[in-house]
Amino acid sequence: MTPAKKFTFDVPPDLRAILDDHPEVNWTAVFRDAIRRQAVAADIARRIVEEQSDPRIAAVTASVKSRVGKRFRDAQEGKGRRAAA
Amino acid sequence: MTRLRVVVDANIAVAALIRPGGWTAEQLARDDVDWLAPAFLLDELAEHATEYAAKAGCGVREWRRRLAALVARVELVPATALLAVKDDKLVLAVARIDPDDAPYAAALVASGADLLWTRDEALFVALPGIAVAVVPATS
Repeated sequence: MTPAKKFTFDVPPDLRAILDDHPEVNWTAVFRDAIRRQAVAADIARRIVEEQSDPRIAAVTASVKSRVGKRFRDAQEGKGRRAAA
Repeated sequence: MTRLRVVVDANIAVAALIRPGGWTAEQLARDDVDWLAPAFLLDELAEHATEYAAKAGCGVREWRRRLAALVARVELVPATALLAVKDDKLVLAVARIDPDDAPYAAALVASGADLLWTRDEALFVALPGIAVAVVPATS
């Protein structure tokens, strides 16, 4: 298991003033949650892009989408097996 | 808590079938969502299994196994229910942008689903707030 990593970063003076005005807030937890949300979102985006750039998915989707559309239109016109059923 | 009911677009079903270890397939394994699809979609994927398996780079048997796993997780909206809402204003609005998207809009209306999960830009335009790229967590 990857060990925990410690991050150190600067906050601008105006933000620091606000942070200092609210000692009741656990800012470390707030930063950790924000980083987690952003990291998860970035990971999802990367995995979606990975799938979207798979030419097999694009090719099969194109065929399926147009054929399913045609099945629906044919059924509306009374053609096809499902419409007859 | 009310469970989310989500219609899956063809691009989602196909991504899960072609990359069974991918993110889309992982999402479809979620138990906090009721997944739905127009019956025409599963008919098509089954009837042209040989062609799609070849394009996917797997054997027909493997394609059918993956499809069976998908069907086990997705509730089909029957053709009769889809046809009953063909003149619904939302279905017609989607069809005007892309007629091939109409079956998914019909599944949405017929089933009373909350969302349509897709990667189709036209659907994001036609159904703002309903067509989503990521199905939100329910807890």
